[in-house]
Amino acid sequence: MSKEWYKKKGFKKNPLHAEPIFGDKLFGYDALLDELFYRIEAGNILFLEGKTSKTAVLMKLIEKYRGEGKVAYLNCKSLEEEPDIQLLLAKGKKIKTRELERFPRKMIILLDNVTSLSEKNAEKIKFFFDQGIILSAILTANDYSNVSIPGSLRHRIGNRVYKLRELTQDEMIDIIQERIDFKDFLPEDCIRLIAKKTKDIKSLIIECDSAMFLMANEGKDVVDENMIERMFHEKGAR
Amino acid sequence: MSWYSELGFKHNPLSIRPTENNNLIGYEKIMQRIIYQVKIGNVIFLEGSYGTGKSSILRYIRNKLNKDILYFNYARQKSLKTSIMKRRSALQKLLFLKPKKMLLLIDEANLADSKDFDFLYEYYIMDRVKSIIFAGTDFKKVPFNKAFKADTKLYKLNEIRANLAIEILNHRLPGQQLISQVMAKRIFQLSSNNPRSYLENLEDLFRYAHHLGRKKLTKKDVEDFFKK
Repeated sequence: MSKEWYKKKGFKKNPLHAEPIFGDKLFGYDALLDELFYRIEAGNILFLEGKTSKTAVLMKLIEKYRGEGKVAYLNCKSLEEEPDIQLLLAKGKKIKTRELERFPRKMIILLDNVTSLSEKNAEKIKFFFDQGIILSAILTANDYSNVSIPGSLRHRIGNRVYKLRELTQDEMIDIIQERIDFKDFLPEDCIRLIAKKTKDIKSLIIECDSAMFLMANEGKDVVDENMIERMFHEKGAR
Repeated sequence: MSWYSELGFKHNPLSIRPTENNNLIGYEKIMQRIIYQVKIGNVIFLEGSYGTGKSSILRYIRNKLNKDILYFNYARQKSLKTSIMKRRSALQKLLFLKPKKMLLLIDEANLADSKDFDFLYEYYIMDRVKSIIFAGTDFKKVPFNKAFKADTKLYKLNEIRANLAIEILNHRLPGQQLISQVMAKRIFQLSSNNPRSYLENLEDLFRYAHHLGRKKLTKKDVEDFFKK
């Protein structure tokens, strides 16, 4: 039951889930989102690089543009083989056009955590983009320079490479507080202490969830600093 | 409101997406020569770096010449021979005949398989293929056989005159006042004389000017923009 600490605290789902989902609030990237909205609507191929928040940003784009045959999202990290872009687009076909072998027009393709893209897939993106089937394509990775992409696609991306800035500690704390609905079972001081011991927003969320788990396990109602020190000490010992 | 909506456009007029004829601005003479060569039967190689309009030329020819044409892209498609056989007329297929006087447009020729050139040359000599236009980034690196290479006419698309910059701008945004002709040439230069990079930079400059509320961009604005 400790794992389901959130139920005791009145949440239906774990508010400290590590993977971004629809409806999550995104802090600190308003300007970037505006820029991406423009770039998508103006028809561009873009690259988004950064260690964290890439998926969360893409989720916001899906929220804005979603609808049948509008957006195709694929997390390449979870795939063993490189996806076929053509098949990805085919999945977006509307039921009435599916049998006519026609692709939907003006689709937005979001390829998350790309490590490499074959010449064939790059060519397909270029082809469908030129045909107007793809309105815009956004690829993401930790580091653009380490991704293996054919030169022809790199040329189309051009200077449209956006680096996700790292969030400040205050912004990260705001995210946690917002997620737990500003309830006091995880006090700000404790979040700040965890933030000092973690490197980014994802690990902060994971460690806050662990702290909540520990709190529930010990039958307490509020996380305290002593608990956090113990938690990290035990992790260090492991 | 985006800069292009304010100028009365529904879509971004400076998109890098090729439109039917836009990307052929500046290539009128070369196009006339290519079409002539194709009609009399020849092998042509269009050499150009990324964004110089090779695929747009192939697309234009495919639309312009209402003939037995096969467009094949080595980066997307698997077998050239299978594609040629599929492209035959119903009668040719029924009678198991090989194609005749076909026009081949072969994109991304730098990725071609050297084995293909032997049968292609045979098809060309036997008049099964009347003309072939290859497009690629580097003629020297294509695995042609000797005879084929000697028969191929090379057209380089890299050397584009700076006046193209003005033509592209006038075609995409007729009557615009923001960028002068001299400035357009300078932006083209700063875009390494590459049409695609030029379009990208133009889009960003129009957006920049819209953001600043400017009606005309000065030389200093442009230089500052590129420094950024």
